Amino acid sequence: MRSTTAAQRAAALAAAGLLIAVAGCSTGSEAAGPAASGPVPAVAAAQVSRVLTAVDQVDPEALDGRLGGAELDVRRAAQTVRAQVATAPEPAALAGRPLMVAVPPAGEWPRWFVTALEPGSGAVPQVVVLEQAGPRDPYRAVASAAVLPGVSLPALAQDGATVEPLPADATGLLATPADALSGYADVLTQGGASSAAATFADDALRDQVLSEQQAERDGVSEFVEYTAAHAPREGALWSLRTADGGALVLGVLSGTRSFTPRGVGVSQTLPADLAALAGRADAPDGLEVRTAEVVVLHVPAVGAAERVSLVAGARGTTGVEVR
Amino acid sequence: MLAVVLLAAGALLATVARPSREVSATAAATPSAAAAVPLVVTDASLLAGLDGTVRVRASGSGPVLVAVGTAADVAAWAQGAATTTLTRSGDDGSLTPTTSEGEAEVPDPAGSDLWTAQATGTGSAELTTEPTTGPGAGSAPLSVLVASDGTAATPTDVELVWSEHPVPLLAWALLGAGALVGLLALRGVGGRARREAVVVTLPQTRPATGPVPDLEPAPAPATAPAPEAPADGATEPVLLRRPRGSDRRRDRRSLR
Repeated sequence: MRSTTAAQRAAALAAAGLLIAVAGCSTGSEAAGPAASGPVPAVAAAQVSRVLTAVDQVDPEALDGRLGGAELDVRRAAQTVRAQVATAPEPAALAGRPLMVAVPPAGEWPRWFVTALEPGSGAVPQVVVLEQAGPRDPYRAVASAAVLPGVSLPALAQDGATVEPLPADATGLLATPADALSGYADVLTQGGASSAAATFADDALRDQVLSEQQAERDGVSEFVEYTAAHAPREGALWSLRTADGGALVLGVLSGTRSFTPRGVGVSQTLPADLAALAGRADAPDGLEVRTAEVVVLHVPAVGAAERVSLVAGARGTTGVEVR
Repeated sequence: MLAVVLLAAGALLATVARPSREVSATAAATPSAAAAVPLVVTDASLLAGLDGTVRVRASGSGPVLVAVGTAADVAAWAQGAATTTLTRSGDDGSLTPTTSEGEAEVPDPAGSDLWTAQATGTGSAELTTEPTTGPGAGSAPLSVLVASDGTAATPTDVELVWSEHPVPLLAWALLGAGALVGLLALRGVGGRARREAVVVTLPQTRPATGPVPDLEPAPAPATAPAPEAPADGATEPVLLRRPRGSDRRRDRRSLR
């Protein structure tokens, strides 16, 4: 009888254990909800690929359906130029295999995510920022930049399916994202004379912009007052935490090159592309050429040995204003 | 020995061998027909409270959209619009519609980037969805949005069908019987599958007209042009032109 009692006791214990286990199972099925860890991404993978397809296939007659901000300005201008100058270069296609998709957590609007697209056939990968102004708006490509040769994009800090966006004034970095962008703008404006020049590693975009501005200045300064200035474009700064504790800062600069005749009788003839944008071939009282520079900067964490460096960049003319 | 068998059977039935039942919900209540209501959404917790896939079918006249997005995104899209919200009342599978006031006309919600999935049709549309975005990290509860084209009134019938996997009474009974260690041998009551139907009938205040625009048409870009990156010295500067030498000569001539 003793053994029977022991068996009964064991069975009772087992029964109790199973009841608890089953109870646990049943509550699990009823409380389904956001049980998984990590923030909810703003867009799921299927949504990302649908958005990218729509951007790739945007109607040329209705670019604003899927393009916005500087991207729309640059591509509209390029369209205008190409309508009159068949040989004018076409902006890089925003298409290809995504090398990287970085999606911040779902939050308030505007929402955005970043991708890097590998177009294939030897074309340079493009970093693209896609932004959704409000819940009923489509995601629009608002900035794109070509990855510099020999540069790889820094790894981003991942939290589950999301990456970590940083505010414009994020600290713990060699420069806040806002300061990095305005610093780079100042370097493009003042060159080596900028107080921010030493913060930035040398790069091809900076070299090219500065040397061309110098050449323009040299070319016209005898008769024309020349200025070139760059400043951050409002609402066009996006930052993500990188795995090394730094930040990937994506931003747009508005560039203005101004040509003002020093005296009466100085007339400037516009090259075909600028003439197409200006709607006329000469500028007797001077002109302003507006550009957009898209920069993707790697800003190291405070204490890192490196400087802020450009990992991707692009620029395009957005408009010409003849005075 | 009998206890062990009963316990094992009960445990199996409660876990791996748990049977499913299909529940289909349709509410008969008709919200006020006074105002045009362009959207029907499920309450934020409705799908998440279900177990397994949900089949959503909407029917009416004209274009019909059934879209699914995270509950927060569906709520954000619908914000400000006159909306009928379906709430599950009790465990009997019935759905209760509640209508809120707001915009009578909204942009066509079809093709919104917020939807994780959508189905469109004329007269009816049907979509099958999980109750959440998935088992992985960052999973979120989903909601359903049903509409015509944003301007026409919503489809008149919305039906939700889902499967449930409740722990059957039999499992509890077997476990209980096992716990009594053979003193009593009770027959479990089988968990019977039941099917309930709730149809939400909504007012047709306006004729539903117009096509359902799909996502943008697809004119493929022909070529992959050279990048405009300042890649190397060989790359021609793109879209940045300095006044030509000829310009300078002209300047001089003009000065004379």
